Amino acid sequence: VLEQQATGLQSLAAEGALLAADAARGRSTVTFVRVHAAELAQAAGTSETLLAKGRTADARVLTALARRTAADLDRLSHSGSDRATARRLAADLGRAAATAERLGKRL
Amino acid sequence: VRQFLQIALGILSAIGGFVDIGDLVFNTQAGATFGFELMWVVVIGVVGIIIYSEMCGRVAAISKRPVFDLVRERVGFSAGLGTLIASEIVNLLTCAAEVGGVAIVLQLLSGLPYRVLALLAVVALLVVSWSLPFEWLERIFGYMGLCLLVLVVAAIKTHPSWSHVAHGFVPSVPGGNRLVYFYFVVGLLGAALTPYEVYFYSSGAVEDGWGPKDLRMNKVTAVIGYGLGALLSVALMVLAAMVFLPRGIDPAYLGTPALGVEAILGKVGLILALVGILFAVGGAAIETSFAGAYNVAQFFGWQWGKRERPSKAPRFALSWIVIFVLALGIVMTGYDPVKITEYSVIFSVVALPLTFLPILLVANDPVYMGRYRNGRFSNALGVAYFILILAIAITAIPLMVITNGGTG
Repeated sequence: VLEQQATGLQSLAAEGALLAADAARGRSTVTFVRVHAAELAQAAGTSETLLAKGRTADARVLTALARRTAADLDRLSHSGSDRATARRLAADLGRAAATAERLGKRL
Repeated sequence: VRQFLQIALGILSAIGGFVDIGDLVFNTQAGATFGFELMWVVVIGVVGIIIYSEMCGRVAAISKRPVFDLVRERVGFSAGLGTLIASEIVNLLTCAAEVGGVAIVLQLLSGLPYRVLALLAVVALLVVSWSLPFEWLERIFGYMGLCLLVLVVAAIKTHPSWSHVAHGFVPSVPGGNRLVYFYFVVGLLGAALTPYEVYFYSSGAVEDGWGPKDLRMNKVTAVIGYGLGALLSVALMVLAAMVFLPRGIDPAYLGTPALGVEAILGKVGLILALVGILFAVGGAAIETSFAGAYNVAQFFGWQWGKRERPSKAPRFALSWIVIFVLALGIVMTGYDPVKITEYSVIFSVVALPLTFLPILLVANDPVYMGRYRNGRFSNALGVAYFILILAIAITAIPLMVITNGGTG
């Protein structure tokens, strides 16, 4: 279950990073970024709720990662046309995806 | 010249109308999970829908009988009723998925609340279905659906290794989870061979009063229209394989294929993709509601037809309105349309054999078809596909359960 959650989290963070990178380069619309990032943030929030029920150290690490990812996606959703924020979030979400991938492989 | 123009217009609307929410979901997920490995399934699926659409168009043109008329006659009342119930459930689920898809795309374009947009979408679909003639519905949704050709441009611009793409057209032993692989094989075939397309195509042919002179147009539209339409499925898979697979993205949202286009072509690509998806999915919503109404009316022998005034075919008109309203009810529960799509595609596979068997039997029957009955080649292909359809119908639900809907 933890492995599946890690994979799901990696997917959400990676998709968010791709969206944020497009927003940073002005290649997306404000509405698309707002709606799609909110959808991804909601899924990351659901993942956090599920992971928070786990009692292992890995579950705690993943819970924290899910929380950060949900918060980053939520910020992206509200970033409007602020390209600098989108650029920073693209980098953060990219790192979150890489961390989730590493954790998923270890589990 | 006029007939050539008619054929060209038919082909264009068939291309634009080829992709529905099932194709969008399954082709994107298949590409993101298995790269180019499942390209061959698109070919098998499109050849199947060409064979059976051509057959049911020919049956409609010569015998003047639509599919559900034949279902009741050929398989009897009880089995026919079972097929009708299964088909109506699948039609309703598919219609709900398409309506939900329209609402999601409208939300991605406007930012307004999902449920408000679902309601507006159904009202708009009811109004256009009620007020516009068939040709206009077909043309508006088919031609605007051509915006999806942006998928082909985006797929080419990802610069895939074409030799790897070509290898995907040859069936191979799967590298990853085999059960998930076979789940996607079934899903992709189910998305290509959707029963509602057959019901709609056949009933439309009867409504349009097709005769022997229309058989060439039937063949050309089915072969070229669906064939070129399959290009969109291939493009979706290439795009997903090139953009999502390397990043580990599992495309679980309807906005994700549009994001793939955006990543390659930017804002203009994104808007074209969203508009294309909107009309493709909206057109499919209308087709599913009408297909459901056609089935009920034909099975019970009611007066039917889009060309008939609602006062002359009231139960038919009420049926497609009820299907839209029930679909809206499902969407309003907030259940994820992508999940509804997965269920509707897999359940539709189960209903396929009883839909396709009567077509195959009548297309072979000299009493109905005279000199227009199936030739040896058509028959061999029809039977081969029927065996394939039986196999996937038996395995569809167990695979969905075992693989947890393809998630492994």
